[in-house]
Amino acid sequence: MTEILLSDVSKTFKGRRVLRDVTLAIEAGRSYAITGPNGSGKSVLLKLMCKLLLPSSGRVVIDPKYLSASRTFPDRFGVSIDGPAYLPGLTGEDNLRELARIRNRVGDVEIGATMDDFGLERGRKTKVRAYSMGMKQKLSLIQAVMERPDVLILDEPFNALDTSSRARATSVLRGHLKGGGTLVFTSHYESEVSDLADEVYSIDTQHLVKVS
Amino acid sequence: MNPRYLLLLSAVTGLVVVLATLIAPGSSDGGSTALGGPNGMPLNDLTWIFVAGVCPIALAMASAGHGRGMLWLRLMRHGSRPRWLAAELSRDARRLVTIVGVWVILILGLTAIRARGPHTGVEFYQLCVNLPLQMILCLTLAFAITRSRAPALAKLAVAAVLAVGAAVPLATWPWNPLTAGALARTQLGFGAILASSLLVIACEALAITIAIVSSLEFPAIPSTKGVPQ
Repeated sequence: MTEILLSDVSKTFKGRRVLRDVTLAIEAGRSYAITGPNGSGKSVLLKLMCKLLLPSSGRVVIDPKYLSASRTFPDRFGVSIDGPAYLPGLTGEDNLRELARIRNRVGDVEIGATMDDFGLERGRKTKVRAYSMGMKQKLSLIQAVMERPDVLILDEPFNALDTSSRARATSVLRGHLKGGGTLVFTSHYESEVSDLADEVYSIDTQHLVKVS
Repeated sequence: MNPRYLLLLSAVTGLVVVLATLIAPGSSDGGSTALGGPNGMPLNDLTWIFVAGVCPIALAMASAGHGRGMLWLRLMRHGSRPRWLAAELSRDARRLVTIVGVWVILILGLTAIRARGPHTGVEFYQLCVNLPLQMILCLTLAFAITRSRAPALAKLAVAAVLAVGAAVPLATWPWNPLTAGALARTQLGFGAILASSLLVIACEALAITIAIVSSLEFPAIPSTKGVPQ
């Protein structure tokens, strides 16, 4: 069953074309890796998939069970794109609570459990402004995963993570896939790509090309 | 800024006003009090600027900072921009009510302490009606302006409005709302006090509207046609 369908999607910014005629069907329960050099448009493609950007031409169709008439942005999507700006004066846990309160689907227990999964210490008083790159990356992944979404869209999820943290993250994502979830991610790490992805695509001179 | 610090700031602000009221020249003079008399006028205006200016701006900056944090993640979770905006405004309103609530409690406490002294009616009017109303208006102004897409211009506009707000009563002392209120109470009764309050509020609302219309690119909601990252 197709959850996200991109048909002949192109995206142009101020006359500069970033993506051209991209067609891709994201099927439920499968995982997709998108690779490509920096600035090739991977993040733009992910934003198009979750309606944070609109295509210049072509269509992005999302399964109505996620995108009802009253919504602009799909439900049950866990998204981490571009390392979102957190509230620097709060702890990581408080940032996560702020986000969790919006949908009210998970509480402190689930947040804590997800923090444990990624190896981010609970109850720590460190404010996010003092977080390292790796800790911020973990925070981004935790907020995307903590509400047990059906679809995960992650931009460079393994960046800034050390070896053991990458293994933890891979394990969590594998669990998500085992539970029937869908995963779309970008990465430069070949091992994680081959480990997690059912299909691998690359963006080459604005076009999306299937690699394997 | 953490809301707890804002509450602390609000409480400190209230204490500054209390102390200023108690130690200001003329506070024991039956004809002029720190809040109402000419001798205490500059101090009155300074405390007014602090209460109605610094506190709301700090609150608004915190609100704007909070609004920017995790913006897209919030948008995604709310599902649509109207819902996101409604949630943002609702949060701001709750903060505003909390801070004004703290302020009113301090005012009532101060009024009770000073009930033994003269001119409590005028002070009560000034503290319970005039200042909170002015503060709410300035909060509204600061909230709106700090959410603009030109923060430097917005801050300048806030400063200008506050400066004008302070300069006008300084330059036209006989028409200072408190003086007008005191005179009206003495000579015309509380109906005239209400009228003078409404006049002050109307003037401030006009100034705020002009400031907003002239400086805003409102609201600072993220565009779905952003730039590539």
